[in-house]
Amino acid sequence: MRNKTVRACIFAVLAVFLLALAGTVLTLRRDGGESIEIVSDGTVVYSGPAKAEGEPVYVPVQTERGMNLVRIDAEGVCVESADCPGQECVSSGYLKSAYLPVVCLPHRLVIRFAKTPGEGAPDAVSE
Amino acid sequence: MKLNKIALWGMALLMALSLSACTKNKSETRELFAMDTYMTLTACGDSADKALDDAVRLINENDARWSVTRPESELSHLNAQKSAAVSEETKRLLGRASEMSAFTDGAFDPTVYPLVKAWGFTTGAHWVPGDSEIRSLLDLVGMEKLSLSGAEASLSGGAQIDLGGIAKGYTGDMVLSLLRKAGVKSAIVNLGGNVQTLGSKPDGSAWRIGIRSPYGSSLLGTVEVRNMCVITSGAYERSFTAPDGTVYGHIISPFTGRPVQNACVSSTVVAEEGATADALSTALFVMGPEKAAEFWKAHGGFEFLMLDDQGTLYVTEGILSSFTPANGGDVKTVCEIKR
Amino acid sequence: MKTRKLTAMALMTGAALMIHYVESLLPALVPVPGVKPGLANIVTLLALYMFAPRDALLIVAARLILGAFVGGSFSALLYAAAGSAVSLAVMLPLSRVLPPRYMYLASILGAAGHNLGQIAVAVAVTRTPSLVVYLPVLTLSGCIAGAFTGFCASFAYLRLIKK
Repeated sequence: MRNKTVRACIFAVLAVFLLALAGTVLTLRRDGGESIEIVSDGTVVYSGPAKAEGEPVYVPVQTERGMNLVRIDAEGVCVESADCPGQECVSSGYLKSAYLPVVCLPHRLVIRFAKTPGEGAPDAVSE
Repeated sequence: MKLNKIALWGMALLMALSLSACTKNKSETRELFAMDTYMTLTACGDSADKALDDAVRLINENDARWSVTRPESELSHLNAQKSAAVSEETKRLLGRASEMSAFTDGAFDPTVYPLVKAWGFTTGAHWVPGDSEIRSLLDLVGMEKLSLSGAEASLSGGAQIDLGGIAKGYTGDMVLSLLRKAGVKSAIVNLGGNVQTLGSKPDGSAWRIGIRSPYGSSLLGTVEVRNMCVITSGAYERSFTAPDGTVYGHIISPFTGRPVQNACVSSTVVAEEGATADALSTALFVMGPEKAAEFWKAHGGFEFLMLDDQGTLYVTEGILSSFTPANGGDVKTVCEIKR
Repeated sequence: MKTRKLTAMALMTGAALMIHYVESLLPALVPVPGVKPGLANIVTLLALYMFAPRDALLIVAARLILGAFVGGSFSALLYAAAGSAVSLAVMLPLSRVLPPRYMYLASILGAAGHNLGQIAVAVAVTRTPSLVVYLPVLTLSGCIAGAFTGFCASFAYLRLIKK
């Protein structure tokens, strides 16, 4: 009797664990992601959640090449302002896809989703 | 009691597996800014680390040789002095560019550079030149104005060269051959949107390469390739709107001296060699859908995908089965091109 | 006897509160909201095995309410209460049938229940059903945390309290 209960519980625990594991793997494979990275000239200078509820988070990235002010708000992450000539980084808006980072070429700045293993996303994008 | 132990060990094992799954295949990545763009290089294997360092060095060397924005580059010297001593690598690339120009009947032509400058695409100060200016600059266009002898290259009649339409693809070829020689079996390099692959993915499956839509950051679809380069030319990268409302893309036709105005809005070439794919993607864009299809039927040796302004995606038969259009994307119909 | 039980219960509530408070001071291990060790669960488990269900319930309730005063907030109390309610609903019957050696089984299932309750409240409060995507990650962390607190509790029970 007692043994049966223990056995049932072990199976229940295993089932919950496996389901959670499978669910976690599936969740991590989604497009985009929950966390972003800001990369300046090849090194990650900031990583954190892709969204900020309430007050937006401002991350200034200052290098000898120039300044980008990155804003993370309830909608996502974007470049609020920059002193680069083209302003492409500002006009490209929010970071939407896991495979198309927001880039500021003159300042060598890349904002992207933190890498998660996934089959849904292509390995690279030809553009 | 026994079951209890088994369950515990099973859980521990599962946890260990879930943690190590990502690191099973040792892959190394480098990111760099070179050739006016952002590049990522990824290679798998024991020798990947050192090989990638060499690849980064190689890319920076090529950038220093072939950049037209650097006054001290070999190409800038050639453009400024009409005749200059060039390195073996530069000579080979110039030769390759001439070949591709002849192969495409001039649709790919690096000597269109003076016109690119006249339209302001080099500086971003866009400007619509007058007809007479365009006519006089068109006289400077033509790869026959380039001559190579020994270690010297020369340009006649005020011609100038920009290798931007082939240098990245050619550099990608050099990088992949370097990685291959170093024993790397699986690699993917993305040189500013030029995607070139070596072998298959570490798990043996094909590389999945997205093709960017010219209308935004979404995808037209994905192609699955092994050992192939996927290179796209689109008018979206650097376009401008003239005061009269005309939108001009950055690809200038060597035939008219004006930004290409045909039905093509994006052209992607899949080929074994990066230099070929790079030059062809521009050439096919200049040709437009009908001429591009004729050209492919006449020559082959590559595959292409081209989107026109009506949302029709033309896909050659050799790549159609590896292509998956994106759901709800900008592709309205897919049209197969048969030999 | 009654005084003795009252003292024991008060002590356990105090210990739970203390653990709860110290844990709230620790930096987050994982940047996912809701993921935490839940060490106060050790006390809950012990209470379930030492006292009658009603008394265990009282200890948890006292800890929750007092915990909200000590560096907590109302919304945090809501999540914690919902989580604890589901967790208790799972662990209480299990604690009646499982021997102390297997406390960790009750603890893991209880932790999974806790996560379920948390997410249910989060979905209801924010009216965003998509929050459900957090459930697997949360449950996975819950399994690990639950196993840990379960082992701690059975160790404490068998080695310290039973003797």
